[in-house]
Amino acid sequence: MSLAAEDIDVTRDRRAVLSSVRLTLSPGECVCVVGPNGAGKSTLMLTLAGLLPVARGRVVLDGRPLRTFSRREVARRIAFVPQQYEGFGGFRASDVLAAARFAHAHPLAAPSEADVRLVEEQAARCGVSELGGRTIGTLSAGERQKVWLAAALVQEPAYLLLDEPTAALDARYVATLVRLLRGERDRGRGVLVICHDLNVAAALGDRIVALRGGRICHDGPPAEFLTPERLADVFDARFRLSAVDGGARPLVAPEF
Amino acid sequence: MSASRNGGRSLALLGLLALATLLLAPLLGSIRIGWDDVMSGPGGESTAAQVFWRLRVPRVAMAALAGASLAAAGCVFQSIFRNPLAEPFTLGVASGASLGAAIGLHMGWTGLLFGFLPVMTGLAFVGAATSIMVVWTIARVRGAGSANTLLLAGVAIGFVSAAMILLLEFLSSRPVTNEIVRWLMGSVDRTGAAGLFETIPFAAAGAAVVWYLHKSLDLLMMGELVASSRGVSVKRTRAAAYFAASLVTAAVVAQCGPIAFVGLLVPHLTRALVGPVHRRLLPAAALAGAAFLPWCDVVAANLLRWLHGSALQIPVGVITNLLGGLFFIYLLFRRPAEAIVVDG
Repeated sequence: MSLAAEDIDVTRDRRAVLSSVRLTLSPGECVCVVGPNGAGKSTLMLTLAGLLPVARGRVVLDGRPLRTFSRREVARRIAFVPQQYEGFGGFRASDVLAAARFAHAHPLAAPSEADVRLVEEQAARCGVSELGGRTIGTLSAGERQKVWLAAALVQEPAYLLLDEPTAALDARYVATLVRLLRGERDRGRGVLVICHDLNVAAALGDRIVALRGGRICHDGPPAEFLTPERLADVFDARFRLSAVDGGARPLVAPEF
Repeated sequence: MSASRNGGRSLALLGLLALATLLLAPLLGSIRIGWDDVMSGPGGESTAAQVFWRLRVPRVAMAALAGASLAAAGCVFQSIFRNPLAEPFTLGVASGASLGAAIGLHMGWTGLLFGFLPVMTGLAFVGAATSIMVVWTIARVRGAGSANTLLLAGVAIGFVSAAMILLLEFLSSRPVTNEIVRWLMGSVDRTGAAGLFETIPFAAAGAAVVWYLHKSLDLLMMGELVASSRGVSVKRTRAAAYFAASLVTAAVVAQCGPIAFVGLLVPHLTRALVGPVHRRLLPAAALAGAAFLPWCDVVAANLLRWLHGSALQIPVGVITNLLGGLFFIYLLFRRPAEAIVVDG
């Protein structure tokens, strides 16, 4: 059981974005993807979510090629929280959460009691219970992010893919999010997160995967990756590392 | 997490409004209708009974069906293109139908096909269907069915059709040119009960397809990426919704000519009333359209009589265009242009 990219190449607008990428996400593990801008992180995530085709290789979901699943079948197993949204169309937060059950219900069925309960539970876990009646357009960027995360959890996926979920969040909610995603991992979900914040990646990831120029240049535990040499190699920048939590966790800061 | 909009109450009110329209609108006109004329049924012998049952009831019913169909189709187009300015006219469907009808009038093909189907209706339908296919083909070849390409292809076909209609008007004799111009103004009293019964199967089939897709339309409105990741097959849903809404529009335009702005104005108002969720929005728009167009037609049919006793009836398209234009000026003053385009 896993979600795996097997030696994939991906092109976008006739430009090779990913080359020979191999990555496996297993249930119950959290993998953070890091890398400089334009390295192909979002493309990798879209491809793993089945939203972009591969030019070579294949994506395999629980032993079956992803392309053999219908979109509804994929949505019952993989939830994807993109970095940016195209628009809101006047929908309320509660509409967004209710619509996230789409893949689990008949197209004409009204929401079941279990669906309603699940929506309320996930809204409470993500701290958006009070936002239900507000239109998405009136929410702050952070509040929106929480609503989209709650919607992804309402999908009850085996694999949760998040593209820079901390980008619009304040420090307090970043900590909440890290705890929440760890909790999802502990419940047996495979969690893949694109992170620009290396400290979040270090705190959250069981593994860190580093992309550079469309290729994976590191895949291993955070402690192996978070060295000044490796960081300089991936980001073309100098970093300073110190230790917190009595040396158990590294703290990364770029040198200015 | 409660977020109840007063959708149920608004729907009930719109239902009552549509019902009241169907009951009251046929009573209004230059000939006074009495209770006996109504109760005598279609077989009644008085002139008033004949006017009521053979002219006004089919006319109001056609207006209600056309209004409901155009409004619901407008909602669907706006959702699949995520653009509240998308409607049958901006997508070239109505222009194609108009070109078909203009060709019929120019060539003098105004008889019946197979002894029952008016050739003009058939040509308008073929024109609309051709437009749909051309727009869809361009979008597929050029942009894999993307929303923007479809919309731009529709606008382009609209321009081409308009150019061809102008050419036909130029080449036709003056009476035929007048006929083309009159047809292009839109009217709900051309085909009587026969037109109504020809339109119902298309409207019913389109409504069934669109209702089946209502949850997918919600997600499409939230964005392609969101829709895909929630399990919507975006291309298939967009194609099914596009063809269903286009065929309903084609069937209406073939009977009534192009009646502009119903597909824009009514969805705007109903979206403000019941919100964007299609489970409420589609029936609300259909009911509002069924109430809106018959009253526009009552005004169009009686305005000159009310003003100075003239028996002349103006086409309903004049009223809908006028209301639509004024409504958009109001919107422009009330909200920034960008908000109208982006948020609806």
